[in-house]
Amino acid sequence: MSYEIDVAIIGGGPTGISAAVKISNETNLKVEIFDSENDIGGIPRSCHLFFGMRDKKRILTGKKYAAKLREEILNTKTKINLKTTVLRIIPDVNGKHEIVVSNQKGLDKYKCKYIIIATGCFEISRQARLIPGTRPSGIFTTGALQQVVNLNKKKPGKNAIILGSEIVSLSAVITLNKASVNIIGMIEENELIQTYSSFAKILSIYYRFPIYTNTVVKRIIGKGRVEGVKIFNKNKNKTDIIKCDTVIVTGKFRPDASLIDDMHIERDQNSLGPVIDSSYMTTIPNIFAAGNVLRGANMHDICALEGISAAKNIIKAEKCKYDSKGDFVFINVQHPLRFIVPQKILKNAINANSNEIDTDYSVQVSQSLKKPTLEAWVGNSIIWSKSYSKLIANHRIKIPVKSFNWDKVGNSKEIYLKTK
Amino acid sequence: MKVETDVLIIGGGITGASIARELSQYDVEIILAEKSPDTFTGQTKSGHGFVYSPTSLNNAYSLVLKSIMAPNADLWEPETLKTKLGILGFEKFKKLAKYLEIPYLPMKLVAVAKSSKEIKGLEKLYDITKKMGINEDVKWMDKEEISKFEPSISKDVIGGLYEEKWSNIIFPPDYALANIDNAKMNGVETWYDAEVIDIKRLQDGFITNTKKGKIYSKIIINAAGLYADKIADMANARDDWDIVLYRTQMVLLDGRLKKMFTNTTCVLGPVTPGFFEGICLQPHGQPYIFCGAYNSTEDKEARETRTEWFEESIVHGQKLMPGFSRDDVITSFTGIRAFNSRDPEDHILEFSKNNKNFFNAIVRLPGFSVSAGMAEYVVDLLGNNVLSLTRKNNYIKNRIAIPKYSDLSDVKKNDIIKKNNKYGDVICRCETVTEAEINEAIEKGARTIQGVQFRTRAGMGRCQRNFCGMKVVKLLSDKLGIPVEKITKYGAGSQEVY
Repeated sequence: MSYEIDVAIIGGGPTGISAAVKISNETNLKVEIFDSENDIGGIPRSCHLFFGMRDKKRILTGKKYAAKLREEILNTKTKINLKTTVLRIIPDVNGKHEIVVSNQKGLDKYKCKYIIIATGCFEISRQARLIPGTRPSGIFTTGALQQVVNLNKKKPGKNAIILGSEIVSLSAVITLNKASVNIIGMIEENELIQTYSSFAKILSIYYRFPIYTNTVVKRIIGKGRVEGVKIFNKNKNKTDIIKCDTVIVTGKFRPDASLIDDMHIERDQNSLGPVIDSSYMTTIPNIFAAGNVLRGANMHDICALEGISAAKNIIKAEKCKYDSKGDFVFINVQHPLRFIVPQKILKNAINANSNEIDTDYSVQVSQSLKKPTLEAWVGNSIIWSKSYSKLIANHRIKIPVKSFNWDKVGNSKEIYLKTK
Repeated sequence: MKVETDVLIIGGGITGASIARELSQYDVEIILAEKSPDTFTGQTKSGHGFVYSPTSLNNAYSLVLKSIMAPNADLWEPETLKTKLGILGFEKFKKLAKYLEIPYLPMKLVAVAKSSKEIKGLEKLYDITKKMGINEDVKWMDKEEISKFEPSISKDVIGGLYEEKWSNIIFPPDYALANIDNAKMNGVETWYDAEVIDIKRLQDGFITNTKKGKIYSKIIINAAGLYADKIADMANARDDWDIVLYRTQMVLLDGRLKKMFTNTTCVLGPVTPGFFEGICLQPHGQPYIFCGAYNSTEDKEARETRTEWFEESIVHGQKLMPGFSRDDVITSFTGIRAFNSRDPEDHILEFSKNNKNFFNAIVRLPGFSVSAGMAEYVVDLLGNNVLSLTRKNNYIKNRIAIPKYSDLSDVKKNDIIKKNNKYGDVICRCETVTEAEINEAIEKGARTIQGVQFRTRAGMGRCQRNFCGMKVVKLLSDKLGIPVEKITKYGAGSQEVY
């Protein structure tokens, strides 16, 4: 069957729900959310503490946070389509976009004026990390682990090793402990812990497991089920075998952006998500993207705020057409900066009124850095710089584009961000 | 208590499955015993999936490849059993693909060269295709033509050979399972989790003791692949051959990159004796790299992946089609290929010298290519020597595959949901696999996560079961009526959750 709506929001997690609530509360636009799961709320449904700090100003469990979101959205006119999977987006069919969705009623098509892609992200698998060895059962991402433990009340195994030390790796610790799984150790390939090291150290003391830094996994061992991992400590130049029956591969998030694969839409090779501007619009007019589909994981509350920002821009666009034509300046990044999102900025927006840009531009670094300096350059001129005592890997680092020396940018189309 | 049958086929991979299907056309009682819970564990699951005629550019390539083992031999041997059965197997496959609904892609193959030395290598290939009699189907392309024909091929390529008539590509489990399904439809009894423990020879038959019980049979067909030597030894039926093993790692890329293949489905690198490199597109939108030497091993279970093989694959793959990065690797596995030591160039398809009722079916690569022809040949031998074969009146030729939701048009998608609304529930988003397909896979015999994967592709996409993992476990548990703790990845010892 075919339907016609105003706003299609793909993904009913913190990003999508927050956007829907904003638009529904402030306009008469017909908004519908599409989510594959059988319940609204997204990833927080299977998580624990600490949720809701920036957007709800509370500390909640993931489950309670998801419940709060559910309560909010049910109080609006937004229609929620659960167990509904968007198969593809067809941009600009007779002036309106179209989405094709699969659900138990049939294959349905929705014409819509605006789309927000809010499909989130996932941690890449062990195989995608090119970790060699055998391929036994007992290897889970944190996401999969949380489904096993929190949604299904089962254990992943008995003795677990955690690979990675990002903030999500600490969630893995908490989840494993909840399932009474013995944590044998945490293995980090870099020298520094890739999140707030104090948090990590507190957990390692409290739950009594060692953290091995500068240590790589040489191979996974085990025939049917994991039996152990062979590790190599780069500092000590020593190989060891740790016995375990469960391996949790954590972090290394990737956008869940398969919907854009077959579209003529610009994709950022760094973030692996769609290219957006400061209004969260992609390179296709009136198709927006927000949340972790842009780049992999930021915290849920940051995602919720992004959803609200995208919603604000849709509301603005309804009042006066958004002019995305004009000069864009692209911001490029270099290693160890992983990406910048948004990737570009409308020069008009900066020149006319700085308040137009209240969007957060942010980067992540691929590894934690001590005493780094971030610099922005145009050609041979430096237009901004800031020194930090430490930058934590895989966390949002805000870049205050308003503070760049825009006079020096002139007619250039590219700004380069790098570390010193 | 033992069970009686005419023919016991040991091994449910492509070889055993093909023979089962072919033989099931006749009035013969057949049991197929397979040690895995519901599919196969050996060479079949990790093959490249090529179904090619011996008369093909693809085969010319592999003839030069193997010339490292026999540098002075005649590469093209039209009269060997391998060649004849291969030609028959390729022809028959196209018919089988229709009756058994086996998806396949024609292999539109470009073999490329980057230097004048490599062009000479292509000339050698072309000469072989002349001897094969198919050179009219092979086209020379220069740098510009290749660039226009397949823009994603490396711009360093200066020339190539193109051929699209004599090879196909399958997703290996599709072909093996199609054979098994059809065999079952025609009365073949399949025993899974039925590893053979010992074989006792009787005067006019055998008693085979499996983990599922004893089977009395007049005839045994040994299609046990990697373990064919072990099985033959149990019956004192191994005639002067050993199983020799080689392994090779395959690296699979994100389906997003299927768009690199517009007019081709396979690009082969320069032909070097002993080293092959290629990048290819399997059905269901799966690009993969196959590259390396055939690395020998003594260990039948040596399936580990290795860092150096990853690196080799990524580097060589990018040399052919530079448009992907290491971030695009979604998974990798190592396949083992078995050869017989007596004549590594050929198959062994014969009754044992020690026992005329024990048939050894030791098929070497390309196993899928030859299988339909091999099965006909084996059944002929059985009929001429030890079995009296009369055709069944009620043989069912057609086998309907589990409908692949992701392949259906929008209209057909809507129709199928109206018939069975579980086709509307997408469980595996990466591969667009619905609950209805997973249910059907379980009805057709899937009892493990791998069984569901092989029949539906659920879990084989870019997220590698991150989202759908536990959902599939629950569907298996619900439909089979067993607790989730008993669900395994691929059999005993691979429990998923506790």
